[in-house]
Amino acid sequence: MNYVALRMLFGDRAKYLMLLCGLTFAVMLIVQQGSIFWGLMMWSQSSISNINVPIWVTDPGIGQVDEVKPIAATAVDRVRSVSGVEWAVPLYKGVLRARLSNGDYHQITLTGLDAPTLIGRPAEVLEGRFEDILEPDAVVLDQWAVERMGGPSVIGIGTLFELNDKLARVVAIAKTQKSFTNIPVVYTTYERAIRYVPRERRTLSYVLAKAVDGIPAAEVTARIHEQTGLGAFSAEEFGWKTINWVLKNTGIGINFGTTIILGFIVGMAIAGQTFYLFTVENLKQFGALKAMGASTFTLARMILLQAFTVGLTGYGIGIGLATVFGFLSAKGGGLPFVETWQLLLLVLVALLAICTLSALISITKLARLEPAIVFR
Amino acid sequence: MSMNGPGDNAIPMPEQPPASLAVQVRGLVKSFGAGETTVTVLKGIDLDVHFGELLLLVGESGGGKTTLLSAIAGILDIDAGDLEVLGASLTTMTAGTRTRFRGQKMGFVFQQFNLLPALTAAENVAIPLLIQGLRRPEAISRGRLMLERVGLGDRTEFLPRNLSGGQQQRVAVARALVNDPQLLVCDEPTAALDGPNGQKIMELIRDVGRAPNRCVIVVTHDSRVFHFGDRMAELTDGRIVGVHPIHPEATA
Repeated sequence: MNYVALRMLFGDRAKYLMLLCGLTFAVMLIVQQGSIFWGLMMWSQSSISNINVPIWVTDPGIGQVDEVKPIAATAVDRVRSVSGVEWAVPLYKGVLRARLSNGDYHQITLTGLDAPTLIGRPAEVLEGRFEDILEPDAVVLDQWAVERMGGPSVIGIGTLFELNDKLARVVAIAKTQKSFTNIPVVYTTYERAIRYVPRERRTLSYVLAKAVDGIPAAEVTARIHEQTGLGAFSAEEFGWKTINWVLKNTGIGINFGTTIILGFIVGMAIAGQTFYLFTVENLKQFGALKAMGASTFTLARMILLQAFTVGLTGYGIGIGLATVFGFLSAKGGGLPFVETWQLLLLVLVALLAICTLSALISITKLARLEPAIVFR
Repeated sequence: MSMNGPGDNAIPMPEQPPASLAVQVRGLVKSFGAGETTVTVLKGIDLDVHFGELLLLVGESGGGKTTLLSAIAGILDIDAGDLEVLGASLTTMTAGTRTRFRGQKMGFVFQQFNLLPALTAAENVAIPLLIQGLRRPEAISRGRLMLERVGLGDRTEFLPRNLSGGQQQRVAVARALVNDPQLLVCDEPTAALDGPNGQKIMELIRDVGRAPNRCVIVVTHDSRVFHFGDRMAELTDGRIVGVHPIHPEATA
């Protein structure tokens, strides 16, 4: 009877397409909005993923990675002295204004790396050599800086510009993940970075560290906090801390959450109602099948098969459309779009739940159906 | 052949011994609604139908014909009385057993055909076999053979919408007979058809449907097809008011 169920489903093309459209729309909306939301969250912690070290140490009251709270320069040595720390290096992170030769000003994030090790450098370099950052006045831009500061015709390798009236020379272009604020990132050495910025009592933004192999990062961060009083976080912990801060302190969570929930409710309501109507309009046919000896169990199986078939088809098409949208919009870094398997699984479970619910409502009606309906 | 109603119109069936009772109804009562709105549609029906017989249930609209047919077919619960069909008591069967019983022993022809529009004629005919668990290729193959028997061998792959009303009802008759049922119940099989097509369908039911091991009960109000029946039971206001032989000379 599975064959009969599927032919009944596909045979009524108008209703089938309406059902499919409802489910596809719902899935596409949820996956698209969910992926953009998650992409934004990834952008919000791009500093963490770009610098890519296991442990971050800073002021214990810090809320998120871009909210720099300078700490004493002695923190580096204090962290190094904690047992279980393999290495610890300083990092400067601050916002400055860059003045180009054409007179344009641009806000930039200045990132100062430990010169001897260059720990925290981007993994991929698009142009030039990152090691040239050790040359006098040398800085490395990320690709978004080139884009935001006027494009390759304005800024590139060899271009000179000023940071706080001090000369900076571009020696390389690095590839990084776009940041939430989309402020260009300029890399230099730690020592040079603190020369660029106005004189302050505290210039150390973070201590980057790594645990000795075999010792869990969580154990080392706990020791660092205990022995130095500083806030120490694993990269993952710091990433979640940043995401939580963004959710709590911006309207992003509510905005996207509302869209996702509305998309879910509207899409699923359309799908659920259409499927229910599909069954109700076929009641006489189901009644005829029941009269001819089809058990309620057989009819229930047919309804569930119809529900899951249309549900999974809508799921596939919805994800396909959302992925194409994501591919096109995320190309070139236009929109954050991170489609995770967790999101896809969540949507699948929700979709199957709503299909099952719609099917169960229909089945309840069928179970109560008197086959005598066919004689009326 | 014999059939008893309140008017005692027992008719001997020469080709079937009295032991070949297919349907035995005693004191059947069926009401709809509750409280003050209760309407008693069947008020103590007694009726016997034998194998090999084509019985017409006739009478005015609202007289209880279709309700009685539904009860005999086991698709409507009754309030009181005994209902023995093909040797089994429908009143003591569970709903599930009754469903299986219907699938194995009965065939149905509906007024509005009730063909599944997405299925071809052969697939529609195969449905009772599919319900019984027969594999699809074999069921459809048997469906095609049955369609040939009802004169639609060249329309097996047609969808219902591409068939005329008469042809659709032929498909419905083929579907009702494909599992070789012992009881064929037909509700107003000619009501949705014009005169000539109605005649053809009744010819088909009489010639293909009627068999020594089967009894056929047809609800109709179409007097033009009365002559196809062996006997006619007339219902008025929930009671059988008369049972008449249609071919008295043949049953004398």
